Amino acid sequence: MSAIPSATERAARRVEMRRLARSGGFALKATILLPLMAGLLLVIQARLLAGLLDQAIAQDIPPAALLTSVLGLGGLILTRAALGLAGEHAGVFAAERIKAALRASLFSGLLRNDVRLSRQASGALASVLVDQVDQLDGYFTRFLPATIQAAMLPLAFAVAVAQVDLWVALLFLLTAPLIPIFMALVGWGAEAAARDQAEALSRLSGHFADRLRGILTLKLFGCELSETEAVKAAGEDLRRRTLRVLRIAFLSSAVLEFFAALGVAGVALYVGLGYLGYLPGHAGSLTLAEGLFCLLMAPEVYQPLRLMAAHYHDKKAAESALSEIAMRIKASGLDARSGERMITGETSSTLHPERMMTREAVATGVMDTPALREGLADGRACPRQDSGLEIAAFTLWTPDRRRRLLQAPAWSLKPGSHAALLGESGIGKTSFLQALAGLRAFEGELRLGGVPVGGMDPACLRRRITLLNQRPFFLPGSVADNLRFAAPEASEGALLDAAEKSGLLADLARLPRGLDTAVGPGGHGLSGGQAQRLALARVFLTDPAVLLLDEPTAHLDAETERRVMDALLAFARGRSLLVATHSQAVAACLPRAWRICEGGLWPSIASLPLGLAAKTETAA
Amino acid sequence: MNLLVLLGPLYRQQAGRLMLALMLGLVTLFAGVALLGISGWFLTAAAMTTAGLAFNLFGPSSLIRGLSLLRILARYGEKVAGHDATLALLSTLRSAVFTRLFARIPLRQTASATGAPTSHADLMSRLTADIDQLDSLFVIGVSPLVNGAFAALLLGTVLALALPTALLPVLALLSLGIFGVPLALVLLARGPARQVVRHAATMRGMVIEAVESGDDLRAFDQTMLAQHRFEALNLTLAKGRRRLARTGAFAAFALQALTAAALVCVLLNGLEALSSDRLSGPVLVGLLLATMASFEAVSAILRGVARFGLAAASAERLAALLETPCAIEAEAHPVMLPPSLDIELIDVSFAYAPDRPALQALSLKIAQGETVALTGPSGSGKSTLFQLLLRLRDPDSGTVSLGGIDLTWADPEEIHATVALLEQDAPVFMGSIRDNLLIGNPHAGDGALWEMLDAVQLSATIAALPDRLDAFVGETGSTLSAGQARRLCLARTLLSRAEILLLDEPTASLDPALEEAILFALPRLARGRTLIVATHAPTSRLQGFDRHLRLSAKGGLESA
Repeated sequence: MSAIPSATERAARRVEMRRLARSGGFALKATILLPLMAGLLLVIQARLLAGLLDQAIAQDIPPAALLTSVLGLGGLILTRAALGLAGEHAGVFAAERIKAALRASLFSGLLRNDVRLSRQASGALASVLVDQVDQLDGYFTRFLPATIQAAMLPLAFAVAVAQVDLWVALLFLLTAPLIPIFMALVGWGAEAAARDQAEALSRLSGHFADRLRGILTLKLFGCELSETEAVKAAGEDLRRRTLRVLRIAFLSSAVLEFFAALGVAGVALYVGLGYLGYLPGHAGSLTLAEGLFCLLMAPEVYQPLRLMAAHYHDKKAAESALSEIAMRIKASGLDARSGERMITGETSSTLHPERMMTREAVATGVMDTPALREGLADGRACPRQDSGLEIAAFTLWTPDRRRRLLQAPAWSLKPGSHAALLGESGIGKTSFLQALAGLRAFEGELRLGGVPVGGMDPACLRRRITLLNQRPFFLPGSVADNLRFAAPEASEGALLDAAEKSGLLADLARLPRGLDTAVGPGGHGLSGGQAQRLALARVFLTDPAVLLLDEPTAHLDAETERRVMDALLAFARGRSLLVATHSQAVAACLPRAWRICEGGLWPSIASLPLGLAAKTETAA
Repeated sequence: MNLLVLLGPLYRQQAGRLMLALMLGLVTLFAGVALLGISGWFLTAAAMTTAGLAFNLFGPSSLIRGLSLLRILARYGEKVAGHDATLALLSTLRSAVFTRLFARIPLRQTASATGAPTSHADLMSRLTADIDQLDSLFVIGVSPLVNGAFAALLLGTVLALALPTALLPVLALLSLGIFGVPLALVLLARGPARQVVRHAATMRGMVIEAVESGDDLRAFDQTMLAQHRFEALNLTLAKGRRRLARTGAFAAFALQALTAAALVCVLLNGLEALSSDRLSGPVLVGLLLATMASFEAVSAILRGVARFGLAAASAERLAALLETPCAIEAEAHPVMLPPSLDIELIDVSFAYAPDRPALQALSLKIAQGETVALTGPSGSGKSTLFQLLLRLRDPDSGTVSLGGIDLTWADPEEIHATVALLEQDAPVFMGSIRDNLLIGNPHAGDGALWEMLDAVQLSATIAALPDRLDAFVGETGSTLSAGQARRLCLARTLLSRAEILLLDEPTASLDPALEEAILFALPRLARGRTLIVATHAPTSRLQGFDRHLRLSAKGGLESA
């Protein structure tokens, strides 16, 4: 990544910002307009104050006669404050709307994309969705209105001052436009540094998450000192980077301070010297009211620019955050284009990710992704309940497409047939099952009951194929809620029946609240075996044509394993069944077996002596 | 108050830098107020002067120029110094938190309702986000407050000299602006801020969950369920943040209203004084402008105060985390472990909760150097037994002893050095393969590392990687499969110099051939050390072990 963003990169970011701004709606317009009105009222306020002082000091008008002006002045300040308040309300409203829309669309992207994100630094992704997105709000609530003010108010103020004295107006007009130029120069450096810092922050967050995950291990191995040092070093690194950003960022504000001071001092000296008769020409003929008006306006001309500078880091933060979001999405293996789409801030309700990505998948023609193709074919064929799976000219890659996991010219799981899927750890059994379930991109043909999976109604596909994953999802709620995850309509009787078959019932019997026992997020509160039995129970609640089970008896002891396998086999009667397993006992239950070996799919005898199966370790 | 307890000592460490930043801030403020005041006075005085030549021009004009320059330089210096100090502060805070957390591991697990950490996601979110929330608390919180007080003092002095009648009301308004409004803001923002921090943490957890279990959501066609849950939280979070921001906006409005009142007050009193010749015109203008400038200093307070609420909520959570008690109590005067390290459990019972018993009246003896295969149905307490042997938990009743020394008498660090554990969910750390292995034994040479990788049948894989031992493995072991990650962790544990090795399902997620090979090799790899392996592997693969223990479902010993 180059230190200074290219023109196209900046243009792309501007487009992104504009797209995001669109979801801000009317509130965003109010955010910009209201402070602008408050700014214009300032001219009247300054005139009123200057006139008031002139009357009192130069014309000796008694205080009683000036009371209305004084109160009017107070009223004017209050009105401006009220406008500011309304503007800020609108800004916050708009920003939260924009962020919520972006978050929802990012999250739906995470959920729907079939790329394996489980290996991505999950902490960093969470930080992108929560913290990086929050970085955007300063841009909309502060920087955007400030920019508009900076573009319009100095000019308006100069015009107002020009009515009084042309030279002062000229002084404003000449110094004010220089400021953005200087700031842009300084800003470029700051931007590169800020991005650097955003990366460091994200890395730091990843480092923390990583070390915290294993803090017990580190403690047991006596690594307290070295790891604390490492954390300190990472923090110091971040400090150095941040300080570099800030030094440059502050330089731009120093430039502004310089001009603002120059303006105030210049006006004071110019008008003052004019009064004293040192300057020939117009200045000498100014009234006190006019002179004071110029002086009062002097700091105000630069104020919008200073405001913009003060919020310049909001812009930088927002842009860094956008790049960081885009980068993380890309690093997660999501398609770069869909990543960009994802950060456009369209809400999930207005956007259909499948359909959107389908167009791209078709257009690029590179990946044939069944799960993505679904969108094209609403409510098309739905294969019968007694269907099998067939693949042809099938190739499966790792998500980064660096390594080919599996290539199979033709293979099928006949309707109602049962088989085991064997192979060394890391060889690609899980990936294969996920591809068969239509949840993972591959090249080639996949048909369910003769119907290409891509042409099926997605809801039908999900109904016909049940996949038991190695990492079950648990929602915070009761055991019953977690079982209904697989079948929302299931009766309590059905739940208990499924629990019985998976061996979960014995666990439930020991829990005082049974099905109502609370399950924490991530399955907290369940033992490894209980979690597995709960996930298994879900399988019994579905009614699929094809049953794909990934290590169904992991974490189970031999006796439970045997009982569960009996129940599963009974359940799978009349259905097609493929079981990825390391367990010999499980493989022995199944009439046939397939083995993934050296990138191919081979028939295997389940009870093949183990030593023969894979003596040497292949590069996995 | 937690905020002070947490940050106080760290502030003292950086006192020099912080003071420098404060002083520079005061100079900036002084220069700004003086610049406007003197400009107004000068301009008016010049307009009132009839005899131009008699006016002392040099003094005011050079003052104006000098103050401008001073203001610019002081402002820049203040910002750099303040942020430098803050960042140094934060860096120290991070490692201080880490150190204190280390001392409390194993954390006592309690229900989430008490605010104690419950999950990894929660822990992670606390440390990183909460510490970041304390970011720039000094620069935008503390420093403006001091500046505001100084501005009040400055203006009060000038008013006392020039316009005593306005002194009391203006000071009252100013102090209301400096203390009253921010205080109200802090109090009002506290609730919403705490909620926002909590919701954000929940959201982080939700994202991690969706990432890690996304397959299951897609497989059961339940992505909409997760999406709905997320969007509900999303709206709640947005609502909370809106409420928080509105509180700040109202405070800003209140401050501007106070400015208006103070200005009106100075004007009314000043006009009165002017008409009775107690005050000259130029001084009145100077006073007015100075009043306006000092209120600008006050408005900076609000920007910081809006963050006080969030920072306080974060500090509270951090403090709660750092005060979570350790699950065990270390003996103040520990007894050294003897050279002979026989393991003995007498009548040990342990339950995670009254309705979740894990071990019941378990007694067993394992001699030093014995290799033991430990089996039993899931939930029979194999992992619990390991936790007790490391004294990560204390039994509810009964004693666990090493070489005849009750573990509660021993130094936990010595126990950790003596007993090594391969956890069921042992993590692969972000870093190189070598980093990961050296955690087990920092003094191991490359030869020893390769030898151990060979023993767990990983050497071919690692040798094929471009950077070999220096190959980077990610957070969840991104370039390694589950089985490879497992073996890497096994190698790390075997490298340890501990006398007792506890391996909890070392062959989980390995295929049978590898499982058989590794289980066969393990007794030899123990090299005379005590080895206890908890496993679900069939008995036929456990022939190489000296003894075979089987825990029953009730958490007792079965004869095997």
